[in-house]
Formats: sequence, structure tokens, C-alpha cells
Amino acid sequence: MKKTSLLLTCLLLILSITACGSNSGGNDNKSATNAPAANEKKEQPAGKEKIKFYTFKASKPEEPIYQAVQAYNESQDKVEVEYVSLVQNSDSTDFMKKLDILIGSGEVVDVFMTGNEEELLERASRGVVEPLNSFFEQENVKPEDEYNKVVKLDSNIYGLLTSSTQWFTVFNRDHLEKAGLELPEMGWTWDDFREYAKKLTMDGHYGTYFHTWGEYANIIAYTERPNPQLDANLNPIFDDPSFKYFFELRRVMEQEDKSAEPYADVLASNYHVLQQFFAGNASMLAVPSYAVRAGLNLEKFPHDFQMVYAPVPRSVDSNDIGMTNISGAGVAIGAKSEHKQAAYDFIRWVTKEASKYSKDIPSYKGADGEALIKEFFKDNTDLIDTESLANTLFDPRNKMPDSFSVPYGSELKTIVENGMSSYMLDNRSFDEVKAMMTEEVKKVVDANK
Amino acid sequence: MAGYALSKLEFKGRAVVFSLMLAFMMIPEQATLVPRYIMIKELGLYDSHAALILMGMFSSYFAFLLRQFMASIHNDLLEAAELDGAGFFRIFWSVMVPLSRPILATVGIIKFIWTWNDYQGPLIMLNTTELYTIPLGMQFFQEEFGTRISVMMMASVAAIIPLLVLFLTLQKQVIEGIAIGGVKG
Repeated sequence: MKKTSLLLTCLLLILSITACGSNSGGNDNKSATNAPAANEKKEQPAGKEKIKFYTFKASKPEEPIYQAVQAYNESQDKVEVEYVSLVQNSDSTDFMKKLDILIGSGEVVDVFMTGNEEELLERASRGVVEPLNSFFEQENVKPEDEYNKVVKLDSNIYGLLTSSTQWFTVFNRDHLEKAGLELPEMGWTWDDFREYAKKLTMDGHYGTYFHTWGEYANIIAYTERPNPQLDANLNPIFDDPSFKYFFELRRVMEQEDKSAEPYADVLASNYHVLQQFFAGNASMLAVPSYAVRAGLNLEKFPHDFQMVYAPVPRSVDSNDIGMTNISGAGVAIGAKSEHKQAAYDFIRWVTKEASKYSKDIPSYKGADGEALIKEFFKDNTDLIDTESLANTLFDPRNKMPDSFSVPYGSELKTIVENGMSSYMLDNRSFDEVKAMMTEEVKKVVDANK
Repeated sequence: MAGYALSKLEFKGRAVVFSLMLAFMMIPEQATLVPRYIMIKELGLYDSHAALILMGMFSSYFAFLLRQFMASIHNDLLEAAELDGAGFFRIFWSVMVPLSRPILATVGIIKFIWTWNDYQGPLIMLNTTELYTIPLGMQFFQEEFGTRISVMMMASVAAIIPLLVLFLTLQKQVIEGIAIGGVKG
């Protein structure tokens, strides 16, 4: 008697939990679903295909990409795009975590955005992203003609870039004029950069600023080499003279010239990459082009000087001028999507038209970059010098190295960051640090073979 | 109740169940994240507090703790109650529970603190902003162009206050409980 009453109580508890759980309109859990949740077919209103677009941007009406999606839905009535925002603070790392769990549990993802190309490549290497080659062939379009960069792994194109973020050097006009310096021309070298930094260090502010990211360990590797850490045979390239040059440049600029804020201080203060520049504590900065839009955010970065732009310096022993690094946020189609053609049309539209809302330069070659810049920033010429910006971004001599990426690129970047940290903080010799980085990179490459 | 069953009741396979429970304690939460997510989705509880409550209701760690504590309660007390005619549930409710007050208070506080500060569970299970918990909410201060540190610090202090209040109210039991249960942090 006692045993049965115990059993009944337990059963009652379990059933009550299940019952109060299914409050979403009678979800039939008993149906034998060993297949992933892809089997839940949503109600399709007659004619309209529905696709889900996952992003890490907030779902607020002021959010540019949200406005872009609304515009797309209004511009045509064959496809309706549902804007799904998985995080509200634009944190792409948290977003990727949630997206991975969604995909891992079988949820159908039609289109998703990533913060950068590496994140996209990682997912592509796991097989959850749909290659776009067949869609381009059907449209009779060569992706290289349309875009200045696409996200590729082996010979498959896995994603497109929604924006084109290019490295350049930004100057504080007031400081530049005070030091009596002219804006540098394309072809200036990192030695010139050092001279400029020295001359600009005055009045209690530094000439320049280097952030803690892996790019700043050796910018030359990003602007002039096919891959910042590896060669075509996947061997580390730390023997490349640019590494020794740049590491030593950093040390000498910090310790002898005192034209850059000490690395230890930068690490401890947890600055945003643009913070010191806009605060007037650094006169010039080698940085990707999102600095332009950031400069308009006077709430975050109050300042009143105008930004002028120049190309990123070239390495001393290179004869190529105009080399720079171009990348951007990626957009891609999920491999299990059931509306791939609709998703493809949507992402093509996004790469061409969303720039009107986000004020980013599109990666699409057909866009008239100069006109766009003048249009975006016509009310802000007191903060942005549109002429030098257009000249820098759309100089016909601009080119990118013929780059390739690996899915574990972010791990390699961390190794270089740690190498730079150790070199600056522990005062080690470059050869020691080089040996350490080479060993670590080889380990990662071997683990991923 | 699981603690009571494992410590005081004799049944076949008690040792097996106990060792299984210990074994499951070693699996990190992250390893079971995807299956738990699928289960919650199938139950239709995704994006609701009920999902978090359900997952938080059961813990092998606390069952183990309570089991250890209850094992230290002398069997004579239970036998005396049985002699007086108390049934199974009566013994549990009127004898076991009052004696276990210190450990229950400790478990309550520790569980409350863990759940209050939990970031991963709500991150995965919640989508609507209105349902977000405090750790998730504090992320809002981390914006695209830097963290609003001053406001975040303010929010952290505000988040600690309920924990302090709880601790101060139950501190006598907690200190006893920690001494008995040997629990840290």
C-alpha cells in the first residue's frame, strides 16, 4: 500500500510538470521525434516563404540592420524575413555560443550573421554552412567580379561580407597641424610612422597607440601577407623579417622614443581600441575603418577635432604600395535551411543595400564608394574629412594580398598576442619569443590536420 | 527526500544508485547543455523561467550533501517515532526535517547564490529581454564601443544586496551548517 502511494505521488509530480510545461498551444510531444526539430513545419501563409535571420545586433527599431530587414520585407512580398536577435548587447561571442547550441540541437537556421570571417570559417569547417558556388553559377555571376572579398574555404564560398572594413591610419587634425606635419602619402613606411609618432608626442599626449590585439603585434603580417601566421604549407612564418622588425619597433617606440603608451598600462586599463585616440591622448592610430562611424558617437567618444585619414604604412623593404587588409562581418546560409534560394536572394540584397542603413562601406564592387561616403557623412564634415577618407579608402592602388584563412585562425592569433605580451612585459629577446610562438603554432596546426 | 532515502532507507541497489549519483556529479554542466536544451525545447519551455526553475530544482550535489548530514542523525530517533506509530512521510516531515534545519538553510543559501549569479543557464534558455536575469542584464552595459563601467559597478552592488540580506537573516544556521557539512563557497 505504502509503495503504491509513493509511486503514484511520483507519477503525479512528473505529469504535472509536463502538463504545465506544454503551454505553447498543445505541442504534441508524444510524436516520435528522433529527427531534429526541423520537422516542425511552421504555418506558411499562402505564397510567402518565411526565413529566419539570426543576428547579434539588438532588435531595436534604431538598429540599422533591423531597419534593413524591414525594408527588405516591404520591398517584395515573396519572402518574409524574421529578424531573430539572440543577444541584446552586440556581443558576437555570446551570440555564436547560442547559435552553436541552436544548430547543434537541430534547429533550422536559414541565414545568420557573424562578427568576423574567422567565426564563419569555423562553422563552415564543421559543415553547418551551405556553400554558395552553385547559386552564383545559377545567377551566372562570378563572385570575384561582384565582391572584393568572399569567405572561402578550399574552393567553396561559404559566406559574403556585409561591409568592407579596411585598415588605415587616422590622425587628429589639430595635433597634426600643431606639430607642423603634412598628411603622409601612400607609400610611407613604418620608419616614417615612427618619425611621425616621435614628432607628434608633445603636450602630455603620445604620438600613437597600440592596442592589445594580435593585429598590433605585427600589422605588416595582416596587410602584406596571405595569412598572418602561416605560409601556404601551413608552417609558421615567424622567421619573416617583418616580425622581428615590428616587435623591435614596438619596443623601441615604447621605451626609447616614448611615443606610445606602455603596453603594461594599456593592458591594465582595459581601454577600448579607439578610446585614447578620441580622448586626445594619442595623435594617430593605425586601425580598421569602423573608427569612422565610431567617431560620430559623441556620447561614447566626446571630442571636437576633425579626423583625417591616410593609408596604412608599408613595410620598409617592400616595393608594393597600397597593400592593406580588408575584412568585414560575414553573412551565410545554414546547411539545413529549407529555403536556400530565398536565403541566397536575401543575403545578396543585404550585401548591396544594407549599407544605406548601417553606413558601412559595402564589400560590393558595384557600389560607388565615394558617393556613399559623401552621402553618409555630409552632415559631419566637422568631425570627418570626407576627402581624405575617400582618397584613402578608394585609392585605385589599394590592394589586398591573395589571402587564405584557416578555421583555427583565432587560436593562432591568441598565440601571437601572448608572444607580444611576453616580449614586452617580460623583456625577453625576440628569438626566445619566436621559438615559443613557432612551437605553439605547430602544435595547433598539427592538432587540426 | 533523496538524501533521506539514500541514508536511512534500506533498499536493493542503494549503493549502485549512490555511486551513479556521485559519478554524474563529475560531468560538467557544459557537456549536457545541448541535450538539456533539446529537452527543454521538446517540453515547450524554451524562453521561460519555468525552464530554469525546472533545471534548478534537482541537484545531485545537494542530495549528496543532505545524505551525508542525515546519515549523522541517530537512528534511535527515527525508531522512536516509528514505535509511536508514525508512518513513512510522518517520520520524514516531523522528525527528519526539523533536525536538518541547519543543513537545509545552508543548501538554501548556497543554491540561491549559485542561481542568482548563474550566467550560462539564462543565456542559453532565455531570449526575450523582459525575462532576463541580473547577470544577463548587466551585459547591456557592455556596448559596442566600450563598457559603461560606472553603471555596471552600480548594478553589481545592487545585485549583491539581496544576497547580503539573505545571509544576514540566516547566518546562524549557515555557520552551523557549514561547520557540519564541510562546504566551501
